[in-house]
Amino acid sequence: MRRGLGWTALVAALLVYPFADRVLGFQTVHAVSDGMIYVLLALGLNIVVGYAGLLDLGYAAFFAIGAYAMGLLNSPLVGSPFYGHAWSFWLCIWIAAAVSALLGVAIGAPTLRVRGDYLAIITLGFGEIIPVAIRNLGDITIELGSWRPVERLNLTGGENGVNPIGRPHFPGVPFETDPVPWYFLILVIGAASLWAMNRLRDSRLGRAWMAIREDETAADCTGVNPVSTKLLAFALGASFSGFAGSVYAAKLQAITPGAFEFQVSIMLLCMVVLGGAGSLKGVILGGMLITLFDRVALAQTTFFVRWVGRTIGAPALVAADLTLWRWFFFGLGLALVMLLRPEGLAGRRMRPIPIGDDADAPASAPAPRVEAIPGWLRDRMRGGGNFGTEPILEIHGLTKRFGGIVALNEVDLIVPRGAIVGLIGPNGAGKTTLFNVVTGLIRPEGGRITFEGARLGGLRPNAIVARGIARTFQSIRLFPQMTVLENVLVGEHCRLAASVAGAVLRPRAVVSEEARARERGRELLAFVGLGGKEDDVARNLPYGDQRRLEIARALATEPRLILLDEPTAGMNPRETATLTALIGTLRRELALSVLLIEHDMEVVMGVSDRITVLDYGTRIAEGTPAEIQRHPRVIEAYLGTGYELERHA
Amino acid sequence: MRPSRIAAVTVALLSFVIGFSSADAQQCPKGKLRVYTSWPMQGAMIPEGTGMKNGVDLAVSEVGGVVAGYCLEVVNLDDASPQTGKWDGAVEAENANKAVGDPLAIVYIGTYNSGAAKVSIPINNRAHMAQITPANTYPGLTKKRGAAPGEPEIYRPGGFVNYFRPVPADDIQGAVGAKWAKRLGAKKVYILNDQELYGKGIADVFEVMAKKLGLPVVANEGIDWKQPDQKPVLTKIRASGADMVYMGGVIETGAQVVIRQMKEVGLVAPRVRFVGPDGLLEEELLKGATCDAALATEMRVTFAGLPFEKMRGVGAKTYETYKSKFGKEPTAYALYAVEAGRVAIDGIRRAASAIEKAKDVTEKREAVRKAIASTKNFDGINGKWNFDENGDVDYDTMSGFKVVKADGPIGCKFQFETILE
Amino acid sequence: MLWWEVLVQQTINGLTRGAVFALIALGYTMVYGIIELINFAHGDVFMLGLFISLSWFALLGVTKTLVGWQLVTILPLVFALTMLTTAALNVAIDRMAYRPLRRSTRLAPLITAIGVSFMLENVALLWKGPAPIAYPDVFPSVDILREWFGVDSAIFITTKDLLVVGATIPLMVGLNYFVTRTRWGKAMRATAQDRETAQAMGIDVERTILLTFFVGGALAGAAGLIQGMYYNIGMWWMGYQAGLRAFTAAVLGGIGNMPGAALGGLFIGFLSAWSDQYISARWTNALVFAILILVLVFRPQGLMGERSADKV
Repeated sequence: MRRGLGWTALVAALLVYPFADRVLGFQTVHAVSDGMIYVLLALGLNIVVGYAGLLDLGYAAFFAIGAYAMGLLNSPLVGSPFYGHAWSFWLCIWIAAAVSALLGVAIGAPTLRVRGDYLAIITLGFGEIIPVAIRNLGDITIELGSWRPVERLNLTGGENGVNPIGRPHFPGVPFETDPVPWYFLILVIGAASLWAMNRLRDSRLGRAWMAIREDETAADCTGVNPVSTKLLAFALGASFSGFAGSVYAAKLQAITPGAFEFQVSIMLLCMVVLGGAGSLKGVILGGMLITLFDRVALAQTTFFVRWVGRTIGAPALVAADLTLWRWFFFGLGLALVMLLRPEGLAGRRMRPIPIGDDADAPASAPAPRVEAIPGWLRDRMRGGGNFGTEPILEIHGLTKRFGGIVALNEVDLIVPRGAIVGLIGPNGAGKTTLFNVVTGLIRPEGGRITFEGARLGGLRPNAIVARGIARTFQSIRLFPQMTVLENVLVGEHCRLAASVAGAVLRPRAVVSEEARARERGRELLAFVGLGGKEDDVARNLPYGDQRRLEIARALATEPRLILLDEPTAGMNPRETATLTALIGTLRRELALSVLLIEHDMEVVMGVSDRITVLDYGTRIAEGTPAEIQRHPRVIEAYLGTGYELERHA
Repeated sequence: MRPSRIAAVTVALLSFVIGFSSADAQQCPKGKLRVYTSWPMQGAMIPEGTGMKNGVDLAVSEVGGVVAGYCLEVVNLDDASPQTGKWDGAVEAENANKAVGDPLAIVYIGTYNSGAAKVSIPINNRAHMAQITPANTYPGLTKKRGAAPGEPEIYRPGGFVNYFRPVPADDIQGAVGAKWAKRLGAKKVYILNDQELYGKGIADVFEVMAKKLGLPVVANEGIDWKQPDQKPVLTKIRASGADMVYMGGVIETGAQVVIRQMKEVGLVAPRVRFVGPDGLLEEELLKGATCDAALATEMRVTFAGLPFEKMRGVGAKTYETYKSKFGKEPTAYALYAVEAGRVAIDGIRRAASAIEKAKDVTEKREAVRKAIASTKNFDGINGKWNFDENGDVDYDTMSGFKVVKADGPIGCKFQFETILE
Repeated sequence: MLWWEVLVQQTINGLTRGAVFALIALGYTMVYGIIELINFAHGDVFMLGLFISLSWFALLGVTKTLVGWQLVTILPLVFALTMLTTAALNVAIDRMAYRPLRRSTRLAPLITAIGVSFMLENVALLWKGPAPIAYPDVFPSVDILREWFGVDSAIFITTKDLLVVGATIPLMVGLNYFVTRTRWGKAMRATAQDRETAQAMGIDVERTILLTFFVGGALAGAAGLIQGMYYNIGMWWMGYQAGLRAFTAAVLGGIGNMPGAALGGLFIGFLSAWSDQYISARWTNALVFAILILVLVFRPQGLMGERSADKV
């Protein structure tokens, strides 16, 4: 009720403002409209930086592309092929957005190969090249000896820019002379963009962006395709700035290459970071604060300081001009926000990670109950095939070298369908490397991996997840700043179908799919013993819960084979027992095949059907737990480093 | 809150506001008119911006702030972007829109940078508002010669001239520069430009004129003025065998670097000399470039109009008045700002009866625009002149300056050398 | 000038340009190697180095060209003072802006570095004004070929060219000695390889990082001083561009790789000088950035670096 009231008041204020401004004679509508364009740009940048976590230092390039697309199509230059065929503003804004999105993909594609800060530098490079290119493409002459195929060709208007640019025509609306229609046009575009961004955030795609931001490797191994997800972030982020750029160009009626330089990118970044990357409200707040600071606060404070100077008779203060310190304050603001409140003014404040409260926590994990197994999971997993005899995973002659070190040496391994296979060996034996090869994180030098009869060679991790192999990590890799439920929903990513358009428009199919996905996520969390913690932030969970959440996330991908990397590491005996029981239940009830790395010999020997032993990358033994315990080479390998087997066996 | 209540509150608020704002005191018999000015007023432009502001104030104070019964109010706007400290199209558009949206605004004086004028002319044109510049010299703003295709019509969406300049344009200055270069005995010219509107524009005109005069031009090259190292470009000039360097640029865009390093790579007189346009005619340049280098390259610059101390009649009187009123030498364009202010006031005076009869603000502005367009035989600082059909002055007196040794902290200065036609 | 004379002259231009880039690039690469931070403010430390050296000359009363014994006393003194000042500045930046963020995400210190860069530029703008400022001719400029050897050639080699080479090479050799031979240098390399192991071996990691910023800042200061004496002009905005070009050089040589950074600096110097001559000055910047992007995308380990195994 109160919320509704607040909204009504806000909408009323936004609608009344330009008329009140006119009556009062403030003439601020132009400035406010320009400010709104910058906020819209910051919101677009927020998709790239805030949602997907890709630092973009050249975002103004997309702004420039949008503006030039509008300028060159709506008011073609003399000599350009479009001259004399001006296109309507209403068409051009869509073209501008599309061109920007395409360029976003073009710039995004090569950067996908590189790491975070390199990516920032590449975007910076593009941000520098584009104004140079726009400037220089106004006067192109190609000379090959005396042959001049191109002479003084003008593509972009060079340093003159495009000028003037026609204004939109809409019957009865005075776009020509009056700022108010512009205000409403930008308001409508801004509101529509906000609406779309809000929906994107809470969609399959939005979760995928955030998963990539939190932990790209984990996201990849949970079925999120990092390539297409990042490209979509670039494309959508760019398309919003295409809109903003085109409207900006038409409103100003003139654009020059100087308007799109590095400082603009940085100012937009300031807006995003100050308000809180990832938060729509925060970015709007940041945008408003910076615009206000820039246009009003500095100038007014200068007047104030001068007044103080005159009053107390200090000539230094009278001559002061704080506007000259503008970039100092911007820089200081960026640094201070990072140092004091890295999540931004409106960002989600994180509770400190609880330390050592595992012992205090009551027996939080009930033993898994068979009845609690979600029915849908049962339906999905009851695969065909000959239970227990037919292999689900076959590894043959697998070899991986790191420089001179042979991490895996012609390893053979078979996981029968519905079996639990233990993988043991001393530290550095190559167990995790084997997992990384199977899940596609690293490429082997040789060997063959076959899953359900099909080769896995060359597939990306997310494609392997889609085939039906899920994994957990030795050091837990959740998406720490997302909620428990969101973590599981990312697991369901590869089983959902919603597209970008679907996420924004939400047809009935998408709505019901989303509702079903959430329901499934809840059931799964209840099953692993995390019921009631759906909305907790993952990083605030106690250690044991984090382990179980990681397993729930893996199960959400509907796997037929799950790879568990030391799942009981760091757990107390009671938690270990619960987890062991859970693994047993999964195999028994769902026919889930398990490949298990484990140092706790009690767990391995108790739960495994067969065990493979690795030492220095070579398989030294394979057999039932009983056989392994007697195997001379195993005893030698373990006695050599002297631990565990002796103690536990 | 129900909509009806919101409406009631709004109406109450609005009526309060209207009542408040109409309670303006009426001291002038026919009311108030506003003259807007727009040019950069910060950073490196503070001296010149203030000088031009003083100029307009001087013109207004000459008539006691009242023209034909109308009180004149000057509104000074700054068109530099807070982000870069340089002029910015967005800010200029905002300024022009602000002026157009003010029902009391009658004339717009500005801009300093030609690029900014391109933005504001069409906006003012749509509102029939006359715009007078004290400093823009880019030819394409008013005429075809030295213009890009489509200019100047694209700045006149209404199909009439609303932009006037009492300053000779660069096509004249560039052409005069080329003639001067020829007269100085140059055999081969290398042209540089800073890739900005003014610098590139004047360099292009220079190039065309030089070729027409039979003076070979090696290249007209845009440089990256942000680089502190121009030696490779200068080496290129040396390799070309050119004996004169002409650089289109302003003091903010690195002409200092070029002149300073010309000496370093041995591009010095008599082998090579330097000529530039009036954008370089600032003492600040000599500080950065050093007198050594400026003297070694026999640096010369052209200037649109006469040097202040050579002016006669109205010009000489204005120069004296300015000095006594503000206690310092006028900046390069301060006296042109006086001229622009006087042209505006003269136009308002001649249009006074039409303004009174006008039904709305557009008609008032149109009356003033027409009056200014028909300015004839105006007694200006450089002698009598008329506006031609493009809104340009019809005199083309130019002067040439040369850097000479001088006393003082800098050690050299620009000294008037010759009158150029 | 004949075509080969032009080429030689432009190569000399590129060499001196590149030597300055190389000195800046070394600071970039050292800091990146040790804390994986692209220190955006580094270029601005270089820019301030030029202005600071100017103040030292002024304080020492030097206004004219140095001659004779002054060259061997005052010049090294100013080198030392400038390098100390910028080194202290760089360390202060690290202490205040980067150190509190050692344990946060990688992007946080990068954004902070951009902030610091803007602050330094603004300070320089207010200090020296917006226009380029002249740097006095403190170093004598003698046309070597003509005046020492009596050769009348179209090629210009001056004592200033010798200064750039003569100051840069000892600095690089010294740095190499420091890094490979001294205890501190070894601690730096160990920390760069694996911070945790280094810590476990008893190396004071924070002090090593401090040392890295100190050395990097000193090199940037030296580069600023050399730049000032060689090009005789300084402007507040030059740190940004020089920094980006130096960073490109560091990437080209394989970031973290010191000889690579030096060679990368020279390469960028040659390339930009040749581009000014044979393509057009207005495209040079785009060319440099295009190379940066291509190298980052296709050979992120740099042209000289070896592909190293990722730490997982």
